Amino acid sequence: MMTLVFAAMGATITSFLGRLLWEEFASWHPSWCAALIRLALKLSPPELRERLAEEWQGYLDETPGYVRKIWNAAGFVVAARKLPRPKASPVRTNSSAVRNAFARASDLVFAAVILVLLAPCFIIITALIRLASPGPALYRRASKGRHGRRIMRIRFRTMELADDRKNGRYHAVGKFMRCTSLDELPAFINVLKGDLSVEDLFRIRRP
Amino acid sequence: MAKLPRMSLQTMKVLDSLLGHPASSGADVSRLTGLASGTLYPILLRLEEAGWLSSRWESGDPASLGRPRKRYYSVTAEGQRGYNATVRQFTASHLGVAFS
Repeated sequence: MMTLVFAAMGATITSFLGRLLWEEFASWHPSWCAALIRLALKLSPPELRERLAEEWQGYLDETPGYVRKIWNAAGFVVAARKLPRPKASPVRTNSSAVRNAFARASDLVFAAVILVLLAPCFIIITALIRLASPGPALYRRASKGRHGRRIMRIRFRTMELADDRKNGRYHAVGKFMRCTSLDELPAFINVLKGDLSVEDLFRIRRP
Repeated sequence: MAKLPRMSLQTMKVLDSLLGHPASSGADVSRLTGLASGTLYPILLRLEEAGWLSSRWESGDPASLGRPRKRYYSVTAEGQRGYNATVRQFTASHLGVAFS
């Protein structure tokens, strides 16, 4: 009997968490696709960028499903590296361009691995925030990014929605998240977008 | 003279689908061949560079269409000849020289 109760509770919690995660995923997927297309275009031969920008956007519009769209957008990054390039004007010839590309690739791999590994934590934290306080689990705050650029840094929400920093009212799990810096985990999404490098993530202080 | 494209099973699939369905967009070719975008686009652009494919934008402008325009790909006469030659070569080498 107890097993059945636990199984039912487990199924309910799993379906609840799954739905929350799906909602977050659905609302964020357009910006992830756009970021992947921007990266793919940067890696493409300059003379093809304008054409591919429109063509790839059209391709994604024809693609059904959020996961397929992101998968195909990631495919454009792979494709961009294999596109034919005119021999007369190689895109990356100097060593700093190669170094930058390598650093960016390392950041992408590192951030992607961290996000995949921490996905269960994301689900749990999202659920806790949604239970502790009504409103979205994530929020964006203006911050300083790579090369001093202004970016919108993504974080888990720690304050009650109506409050601001001056009032400083944490929700039930907000203070714990702030103390442990768990609220900073979504900044790895900024790394994927190219706003921050992994090094910046640990170097740039909170505003 | 344009460089001959490297022929692979995926390249043949792309040519085959475009011969069966001329003026298809990248997404259509992907659906027809089952190739992912990361594999498909290098093939399409390599074949186009070699003159085996031609491409054109969908008529109309994005503002009036309310979406980005599609780019339609078709096999050129040179592409058709290249495809036929590759099929003949493949048939001869894999099924023996009985046909020759």
